[in-house]
Amino acid sequence: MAMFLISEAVFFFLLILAFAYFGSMPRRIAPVGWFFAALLLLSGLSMWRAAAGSRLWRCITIALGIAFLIYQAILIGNTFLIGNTFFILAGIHGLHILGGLIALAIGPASALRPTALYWYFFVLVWLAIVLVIYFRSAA
Amino acid sequence: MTWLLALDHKRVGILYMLSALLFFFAGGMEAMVMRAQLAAPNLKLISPEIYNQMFTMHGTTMIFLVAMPVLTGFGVYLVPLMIGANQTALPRLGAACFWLQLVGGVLLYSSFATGAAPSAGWFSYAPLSEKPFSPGAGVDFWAFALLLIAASSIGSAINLIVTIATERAPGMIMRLVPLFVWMTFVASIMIVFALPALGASLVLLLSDRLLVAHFFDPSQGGAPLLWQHYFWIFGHPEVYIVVLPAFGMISEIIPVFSRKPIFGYPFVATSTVAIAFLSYGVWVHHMFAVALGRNFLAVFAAASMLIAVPTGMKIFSWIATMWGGAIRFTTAMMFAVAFLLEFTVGGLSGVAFATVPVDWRLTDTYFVVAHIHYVLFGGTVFALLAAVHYWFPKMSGRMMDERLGRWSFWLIVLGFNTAVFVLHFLGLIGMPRRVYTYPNLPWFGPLNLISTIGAAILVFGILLFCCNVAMSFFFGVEAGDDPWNAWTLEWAAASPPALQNFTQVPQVRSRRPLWDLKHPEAPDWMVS
Amino acid sequence: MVFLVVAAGVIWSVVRFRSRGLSTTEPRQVFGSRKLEILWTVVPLAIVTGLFIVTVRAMVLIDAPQDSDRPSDLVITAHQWWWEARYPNGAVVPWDIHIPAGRRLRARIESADVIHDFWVPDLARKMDAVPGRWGYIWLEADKPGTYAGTCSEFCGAQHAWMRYRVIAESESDFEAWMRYWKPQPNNEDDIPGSPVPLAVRLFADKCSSCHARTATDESSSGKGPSLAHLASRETLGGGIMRNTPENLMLWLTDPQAAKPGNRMPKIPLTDAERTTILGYLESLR
Repeated sequence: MAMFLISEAVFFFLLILAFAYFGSMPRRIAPVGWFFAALLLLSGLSMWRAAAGSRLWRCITIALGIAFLIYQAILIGNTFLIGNTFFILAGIHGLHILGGLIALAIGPASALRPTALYWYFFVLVWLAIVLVIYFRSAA
Repeated sequence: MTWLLALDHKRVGILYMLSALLFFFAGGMEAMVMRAQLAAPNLKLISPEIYNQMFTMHGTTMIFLVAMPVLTGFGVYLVPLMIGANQTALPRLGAACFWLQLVGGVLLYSSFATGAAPSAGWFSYAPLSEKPFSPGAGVDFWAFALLLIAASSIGSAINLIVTIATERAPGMIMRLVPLFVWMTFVASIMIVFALPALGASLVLLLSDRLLVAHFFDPSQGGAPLLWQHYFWIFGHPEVYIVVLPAFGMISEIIPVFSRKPIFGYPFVATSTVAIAFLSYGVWVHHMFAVALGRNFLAVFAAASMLIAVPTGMKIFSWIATMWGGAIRFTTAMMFAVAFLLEFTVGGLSGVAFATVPVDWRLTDTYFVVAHIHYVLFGGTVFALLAAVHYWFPKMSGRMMDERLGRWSFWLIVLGFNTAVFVLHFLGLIGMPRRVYTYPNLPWFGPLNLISTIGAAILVFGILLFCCNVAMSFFFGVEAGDDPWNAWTLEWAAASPPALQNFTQVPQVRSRRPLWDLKHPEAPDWMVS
Repeated sequence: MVFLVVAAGVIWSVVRFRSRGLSTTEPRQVFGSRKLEILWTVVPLAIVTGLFIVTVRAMVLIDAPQDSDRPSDLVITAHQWWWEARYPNGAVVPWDIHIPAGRRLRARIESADVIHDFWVPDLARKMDAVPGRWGYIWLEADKPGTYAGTCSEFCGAQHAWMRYRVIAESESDFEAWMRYWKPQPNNEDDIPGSPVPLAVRLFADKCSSCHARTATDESSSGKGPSLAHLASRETLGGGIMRNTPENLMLWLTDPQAAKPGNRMPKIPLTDAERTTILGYLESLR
């Protein structure tokens, strides 16, 4: 899993770099955007509990993840500028989150730890994206 | 039928090799079409558009559907055997990656059916590869197919890394693994760090083409050079990825047929790591002809020259291995020795390009075509030919025919060198690359004709080699477990190995466990 | 030379140390030698260091300064699939670039569409023409003569036929040529009030949306190379064919047959119209 995440790290790093440099990023992050980013961070914490085996926390993580994805879907669906390059980044990230959710939902117990690792990684990626937008628009 | 669902690493390895062979024929045909069109000035055998599709598909096929898969195949087949394991660590992943790669290849080739194969070159520079200049779907096919193939590569690399990290026989610490295993390990780690850059590049390109983004469009604030940087950040490590396992194969074959251990194992292993690191710092040498600033270019020139040093070390090690030995000229050894000479030629022309002012004259000419074919064909393919002759007995239980082997060897050597050596001169006298025809300037016609004739001879040699493989598979002499009197663990398994490779793994106390068994009076672990 | 060392090593080992007969004793097992390893690391390192020093010095000598505030002597623009040069006096010259011999000129290389590469092997280093960027080279011919050039970065269907010439001449010849190309006062066929000859009208109708017909013609969009002084050229289409009336007629009849993949559409013309235009083009010396 670690190896896989390294490859994903390189991928997202380069993408974010390109987007930061050239892409049209949103001007600022709406308060609701911060809210859902925080939700995703929380899901990282709940994943931590879920990795220990607790079914309740697993469900909470899935719920938080779904909420995040719904927000993303609405956000992307509502922009008429589908070429707005930021949303490609968000879309790809979202697809990865979806994959993680599926793994979390139907995966065997032995897959919990790698799935948790995967989840933390993508929470961090989203954090990185949000921070890049924030600092870029502040500049 | 069972092959479709095969999970056993040996079957998956063979599937990779067979698929690579199929695409090798496709890529070879594309090459022959080009050489036919270039045999004389101003020929009109094919249209310029078709020619451009040919060289695009030839390059893409050979790198992504032949070289990488076949080396993965050998890795997947041999690594467990060489480390004393019975399977790879992630067999389902391993098998899935094979099929993923095949789907990618089929997707790429299906572009021919739509009449729009990609024609922007195997590295598809923007803005040529953007929608306004490549309006057909060819580049889209290319990009999607490569995304699948890249994912497949990363997956199989992960499989190999985990296998080598966790499945080694007791006693086989990392310092003692066979060099093929070590090189495969390093190359796999390189894949994890390099292929995602290709993925990112492709996503950006597809965004530009299909989603109206503007990463590479200067009129909208984008930069064509971004593509080049991102692609070559992948592309340069990529070529080392396809050469390191070949180095590994040579490092197994030359010692056995010189009857001596590899000279300077620790240096060969360390130089491999040096090459891996350095290879991420040289990518701009593909862009020396762009006005990027002298100091910037100089840094990359230095790195590119530096990387020749660890590579050269290996050549010297291999020669020193042969020195003082008792050399047996099996076909495998002949290809391995030829590799040394061919790869050196290719490596030296590479250093020529690192010399920026020379690059300012010779880049994008046939001199580059000569360089890449000497390192990729004279290097990787020759190593593969040696590897097939060497490990065929293990994989099939039968020996290949030595006489056919010699004939195919000489024809391949003659054909390859005739076809490619003259390309150095064509580049020096000014023939640019990727041209569908050329004017009747002095020597252009004759040199091109010589190259075409050489290519035809090479094809014949390859066909002879394939005949040898096929016939030997059915009619070859029985091989036994250890026909070459070799020293690494795979030769302790049966030929071909049973589903469970080893009933009992020999004790591992040195780099040559079977030598220790055969020479209990002077085992390796007593010497060092 | 390095190759000879390596080849010698290989061939000598192979000949001297080949196995003789069926002896079963193994040769002396040598595992390595630290001295040798150091030797063959240090020596190549020294060689490449020397090579690097030579490289940097050569780069400094060859490369032109890249600052864009200094005016350039020549601006060379690459198109799919033709070249043009813009001179300081405003003249726009397709294909044949004249320069005065013996003078070092700074040329700016740029592209109007995809990446191309300006390469005149005998006179200058290669320089990629990247859209959105400028690259500067020194262009200098010691002696008068005609120097061949070609595009050296794959740029699409007709990358192969973007062959141009750099023609170096004595200062006086160059001056004469500049006067010849230098924007002329209007020709008599443009005198207001006088009837415009049929040929010129036809050209304006059918051709000038893409092609300029004189060095001063500003009316065309520049989508195709200027046809000024067309009859004085040796080849057509970037070297794909000789400049003869028959070949020129082919362009008027079926441009795709002349240079497959190029951007000129088939212009609907009657045979009479074609002949008229051909005659006019042949007169553009």
